[in-house]
Amino acid sequence: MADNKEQSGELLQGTLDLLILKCLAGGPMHGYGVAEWIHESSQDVLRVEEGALYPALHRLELRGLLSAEWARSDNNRRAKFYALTAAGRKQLAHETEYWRRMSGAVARVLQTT
Amino acid sequence: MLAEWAHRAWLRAKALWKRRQLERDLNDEVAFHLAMREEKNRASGMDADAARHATQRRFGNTTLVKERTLILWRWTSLETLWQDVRYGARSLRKSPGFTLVAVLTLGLGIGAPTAIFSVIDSVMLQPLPFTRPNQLVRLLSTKDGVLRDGPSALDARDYARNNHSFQSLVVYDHWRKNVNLSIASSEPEQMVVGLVPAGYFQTLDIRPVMGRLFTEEENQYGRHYVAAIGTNLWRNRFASDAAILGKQIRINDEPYTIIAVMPDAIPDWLEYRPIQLWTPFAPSDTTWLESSRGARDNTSIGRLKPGVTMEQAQADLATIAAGLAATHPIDRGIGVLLRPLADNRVGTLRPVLFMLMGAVTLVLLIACSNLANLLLARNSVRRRELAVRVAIGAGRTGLIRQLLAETLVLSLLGGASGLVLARFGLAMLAKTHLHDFPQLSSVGIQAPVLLFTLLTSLATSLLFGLAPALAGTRLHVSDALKEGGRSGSMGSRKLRFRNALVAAEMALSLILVVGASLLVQSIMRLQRQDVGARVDHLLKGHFYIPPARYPDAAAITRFSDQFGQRVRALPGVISASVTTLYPPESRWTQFIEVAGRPAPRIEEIPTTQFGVADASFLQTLAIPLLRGRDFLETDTPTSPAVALITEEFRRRFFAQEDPIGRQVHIGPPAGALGTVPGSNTWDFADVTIIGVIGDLKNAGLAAPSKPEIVCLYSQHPAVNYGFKDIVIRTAVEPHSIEPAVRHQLHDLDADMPFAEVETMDEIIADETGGQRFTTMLLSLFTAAGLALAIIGVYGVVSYLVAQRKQELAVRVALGAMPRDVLWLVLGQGLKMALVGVATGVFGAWGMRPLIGRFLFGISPVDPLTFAGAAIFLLGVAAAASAIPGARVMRLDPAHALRQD
Repeated sequence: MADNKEQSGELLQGTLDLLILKCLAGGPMHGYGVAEWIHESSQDVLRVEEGALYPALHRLELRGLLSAEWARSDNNRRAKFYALTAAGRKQLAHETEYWRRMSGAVARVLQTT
Repeated sequence: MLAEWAHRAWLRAKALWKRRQLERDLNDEVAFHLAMREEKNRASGMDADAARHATQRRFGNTTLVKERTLILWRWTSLETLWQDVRYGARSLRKSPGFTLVAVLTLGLGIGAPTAIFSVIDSVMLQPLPFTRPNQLVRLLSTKDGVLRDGPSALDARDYARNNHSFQSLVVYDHWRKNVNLSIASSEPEQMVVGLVPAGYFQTLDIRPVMGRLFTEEENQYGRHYVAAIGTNLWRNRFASDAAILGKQIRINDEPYTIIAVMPDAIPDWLEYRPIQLWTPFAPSDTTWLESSRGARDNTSIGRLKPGVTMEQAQADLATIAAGLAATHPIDRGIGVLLRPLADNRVGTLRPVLFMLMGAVTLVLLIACSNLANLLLARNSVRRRELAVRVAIGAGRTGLIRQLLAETLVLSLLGGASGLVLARFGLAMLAKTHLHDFPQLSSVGIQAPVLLFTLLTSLATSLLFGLAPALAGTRLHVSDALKEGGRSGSMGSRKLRFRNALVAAEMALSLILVVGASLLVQSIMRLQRQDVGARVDHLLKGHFYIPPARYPDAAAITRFSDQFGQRVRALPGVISASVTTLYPPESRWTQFIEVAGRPAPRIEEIPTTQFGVADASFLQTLAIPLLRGRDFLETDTPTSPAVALITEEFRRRFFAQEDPIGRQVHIGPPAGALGTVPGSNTWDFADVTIIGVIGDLKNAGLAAPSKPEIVCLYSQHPAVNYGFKDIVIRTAVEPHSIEPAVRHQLHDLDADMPFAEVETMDEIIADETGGQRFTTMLLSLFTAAGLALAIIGVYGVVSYLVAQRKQELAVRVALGAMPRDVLWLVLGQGLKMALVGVATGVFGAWGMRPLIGRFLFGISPVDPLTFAGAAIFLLGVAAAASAIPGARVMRLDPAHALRQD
């Protein structure tokens, strides 16, 4: 288990949620797709332990930010597709704004001295 | 925020039912992910094994992931609760004795309120079984603001014509009549026949099962020979004959054609007795005479127009009543009062139910105190177990939650057994008291009752489980564990709490005992009331001489005299009298005017109770003659009319003078009503007073006697109606001569039923039926409360004895006499009892307005009753403590000291 933890990359919980929301803003996607998207768009910098994705997805579904539906994937397999709900869209906007302010502030702090 | 919570709750609730589906979905979801990743890995050139391993590494611990995901969907608090409940149930199963006592205690405590609440629910809360029942009202008359009977037919007609508030307003009546259900039958019986216009059924929105309602024409006197029968009668007496319509029956020896079968939709409480046969109201010509405006003995119901409130309708009718009072002298002072029809259903039960609800609340409180006590004892015995659990890391909150869950299980079991008890109790109640309270027939356990029981159970477990749980978990782990094998001793604070609980039980029991014994004494006094006549060996029966075959007063007199003579000649009969009055009630009221003292205004004309009988009246009832003479055989239809007056009559009208030989006029004074004299039967006679007799109870057992005047039916053809009773003084068991009497009546007229045969003892018992109902229930509840309180005292004293066993053993070893030890133990019980009884006396004193209205001839703070109840309870407490005390006396010190 210790190895797994090291591999998982230092991803804050809230960050993973934000990434998921952002990914799904582009359209409904299954869990595997979300994992792939995160790898690709972060150019493998953000390394998510892929299993950790699922509790996060389900938590967001329970909060009503995502809706889920079973459908056929590209290669014709049954997969659970997640999509943003209206509340999810709002949450994404809200968290993006927050993240920008935070990262801006952190960057400024690091630039001084 | 709330919406989000609700959304989550909804999804979780769904997941609760679809647990398996949820797991399967998650498995599929993860499997899909792994398959995709593995495919990609192999596509990038890995061999199968390496691809699978790389996939697993990248995904992490599959089982853990699934578990973490699934737990999100759990209803954590609910599932913990469920766990606690299961744990509680398990630990209760391990101590069946405790569980049984606790469940029975709660069963008694919850069963009693459940039973009373289901009566309240069915007679007060459930809607009436009619369409839009809130529109239905009953119309009553008041005189000078005091409630009288129903309206007179004339007044009701004027209300119906002139109001703006009612869809319909009908006046009707019901009479006992001789009924032959087949035209050829010679098995006459007496039935109560409803005399109703079609509007009666229309107002209640009841439609015939078969046939049609009465027409307006059939409601005219002379055209009224049609009848409607109830389904029950149709089924039981006509074998559900499909061709029943058109068949003829005889009512009072006149043929009636059955034109309708009505559903059994009219509950017995509506007319105070079951009615299964109706004929048109068909008022006779005299009904519309001005003098009949005063005959306020009809019944009336109405249905309000939609949107009209009771107050508006009341105001509307009050205006009409004021108009009537202004134009009709006999209506002066007469008002009108509307009551919701639902009030009819509660009837006289309302105050009874409130009082009983109070009593069962006390029983519930006693049961709860007992439960709390039991739990305290149990938790202190379990101190070590609890301490061990704290020591290995259980939080106090968790422990409290678990103890509460255990109480919850107990309460629910208690509630369930309470429901069972209530059901049985209600069945018994309905069976034994339907006669006094027909509305009890509909009593049952409905949804609101279940809710009530559930809430009571939950409240019980929360309120009375919390304190023991708090006390039980207030632990110093090391102390508790160090106490070795001994079942831990209780701190003095907990002990005080337990003592207080027992004292409270004693106090509540005292209130119950005082209430029950007041009611019992009150009934005894009521039944021992002197009705003014000798009540033993007295039989009474009713018969009706129908005008169809006995067209005039002479025929009725002849028949009555003959019947009286034949009965007097029967073996075992000492005397018999045909009469219209007998104690304890006489409902016939007449205007009276003492000669030479005319009343100036009609509303000032005094009234008296009135009855007609034959010359054997005094002798048969053994009523004392105080002055003057009795009726004689020489008082004949042609001799001057004579009368006997009661002592109360003399006090009222001849306080200063000798009434013997004085003349009184019965009926309203000539011309007072503006009618032609002689045109109505009310204004019928001048009589000469020949004797004064002892007072008769004539307004029920509880009310003081009203003035009464007794005349001979043979001398008053105008009021010599067919309604007669016969009272028979027997030398043998009264009911044993019933067949012989019936045979004589049958011999004289084969079509005349002999009905309502009862002994005077039975009549008096009937009169107190309502009170006995109340008393029986209160006594039952008191017994339950008392039993619980005894268990409480016994439990606590036993516990104390067990605690102090070593100490007591040391005392005995050092030479204390067994008597001293016994006193030590008794003292403990008595101390609690004394505190409880003292508190209870104040409580019972505070309850006096609640109980006072049910009492007759005894004060609600009767000192003897209070003292008796206090001594009784102290005795009970002493007895309950004596059992563990006796155990101490047999204590073998050597054995007790070696035990640990």
